[in-house]
Amino acid sequence: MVDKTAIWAIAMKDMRSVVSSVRVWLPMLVIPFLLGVVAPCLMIILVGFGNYKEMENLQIVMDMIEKLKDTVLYEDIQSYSTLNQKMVYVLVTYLFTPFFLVIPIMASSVVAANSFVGEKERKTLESLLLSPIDMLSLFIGKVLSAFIPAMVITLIMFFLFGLSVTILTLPLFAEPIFPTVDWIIMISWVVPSVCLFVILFNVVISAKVRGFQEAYQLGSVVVIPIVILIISQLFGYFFLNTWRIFFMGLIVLILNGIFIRWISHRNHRLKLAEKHL
Amino acid sequence: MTSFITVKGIEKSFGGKSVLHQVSFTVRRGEIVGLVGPNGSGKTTLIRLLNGVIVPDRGSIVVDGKDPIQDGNVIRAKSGTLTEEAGLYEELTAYQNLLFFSKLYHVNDHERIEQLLQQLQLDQAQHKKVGTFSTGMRKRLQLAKVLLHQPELLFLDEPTNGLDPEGIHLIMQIVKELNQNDRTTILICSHILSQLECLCDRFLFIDKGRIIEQGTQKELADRYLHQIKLRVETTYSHPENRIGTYRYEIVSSDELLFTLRDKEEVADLLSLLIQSAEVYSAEVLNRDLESIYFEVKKRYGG
Repeated sequence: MVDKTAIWAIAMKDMRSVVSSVRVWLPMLVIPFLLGVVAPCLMIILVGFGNYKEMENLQIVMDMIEKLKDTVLYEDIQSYSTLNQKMVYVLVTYLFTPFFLVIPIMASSVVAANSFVGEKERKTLESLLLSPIDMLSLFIGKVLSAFIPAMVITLIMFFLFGLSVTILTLPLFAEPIFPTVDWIIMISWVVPSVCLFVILFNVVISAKVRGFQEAYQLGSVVVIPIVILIISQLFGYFFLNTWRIFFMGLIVLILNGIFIRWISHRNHRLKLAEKHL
Repeated sequence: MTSFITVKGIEKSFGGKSVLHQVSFTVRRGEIVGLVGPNGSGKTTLIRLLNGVIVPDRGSIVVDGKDPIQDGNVIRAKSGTLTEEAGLYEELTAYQNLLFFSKLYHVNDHERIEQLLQQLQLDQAQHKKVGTFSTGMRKRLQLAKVLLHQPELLFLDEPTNGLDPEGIHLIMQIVKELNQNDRTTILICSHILSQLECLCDRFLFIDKGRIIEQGTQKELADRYLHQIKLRVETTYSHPENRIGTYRYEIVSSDELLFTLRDKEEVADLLSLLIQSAEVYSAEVLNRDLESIYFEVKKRYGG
């Protein structure tokens, strides 16, 4: 049985620590804002209002749309007459989606990587190990302290992204093109699962390594599959459609279940103490 | 009386280096036991083992009928451990720190927090961040943290390190009162042996991971101190530096130092002195804990 009071105490204490340090929370907000709002807006403005007749590399854009041929998206694209509309539609409904997998990672990795190793560096880990809390509750508290801010930031960025996209695309399409079903599945199903997976991974790493730098660098490995996904999307090697997005969320959710089960079956107090005290 | 803590044949090593070897002792409920030994002798490891934070390689530990590894949380819920490191969150205030730990110990009692802050003279600084605290204030806050849940068992590792005389007096007073009023069992480590002397019922001397001696101060003194050095403030003088068969050294114009074989000789000497001159004071110099400690260390090759 987990200790809910202890879980919330740990999560609130860690979140309070984040809020009290500008050096921690500012990058957690600025980078997601640049990635989730500023960069998409600039791209929409550039692609939606640019004159493509004068651009030489038009063929690359056309090739990419061609690769989408057997997808539902292709039919939607064909319903638009101008190349600007087609390109903006591809960006908004297709290319920007994996960006929102990166945002919760950006917003959670520092807190998650700092979770245990930070306690060790501040010499407070022993106080926690000497208290009557079970280690699963301590882990859950640490995970929540990274998960809650990451999801709040992601949802705020999603709202700002949606608002900006709607404002920028309305003159081009005369009707809202956002959010699509894929976006809703992505935000409500995949993003929380991926965010949890990344945090679990980082928290376990943080409990195993000796310093924050090591934890942060090792924890960053988990970004690699997301980067591969974005590149594959960009060059048309792998298409995220509704079912693929749904199954991606399901697979990550199952992995989370396995991860949590593995964590709960290990006596981390002894391991943490022998490793860090 | 049954033991509150029973430690039998404990062995513990880290990376092949033995830290504790064949450690055995008992502590009765309500006792204050001083754990005395140099740095690196294994005191902190022993406290961690008693809390079930680390596991022994061999041997058994029972605390209030429970095994610290199997029932660690039960033991940790009724014990408080003051470690050498403060273990406090610098970015939080004193009050926020206590509130956080009170939740971990399921106390969640604001009155208890305020009472402790007042008792440890931290009420004026309760809303200041711990990062701005002096060493003494941190130590007092750490003690408040340890006492939040009114533990039955206290492990105090160097509780007066970094404290000024007032701070030392305050902490020793609180520890004494806890033992007298609540019968709190206390295992205390300190290098300042004079502080332990007037506090502890018994002592465990530990060196290089072994308990080399244990007992009350009287038992240890009887075992190790075979001479009594008595300093007497008196007007007495004799050209051969003796009174009866007792010889003395002159410490100052009115202080003499006698070396006696046992306590019986003290009474005999003093009655002789009183008959011959004025006697203002008499003090046994070498029956204090420090003298005992160095005698024990000498015997065990320390």
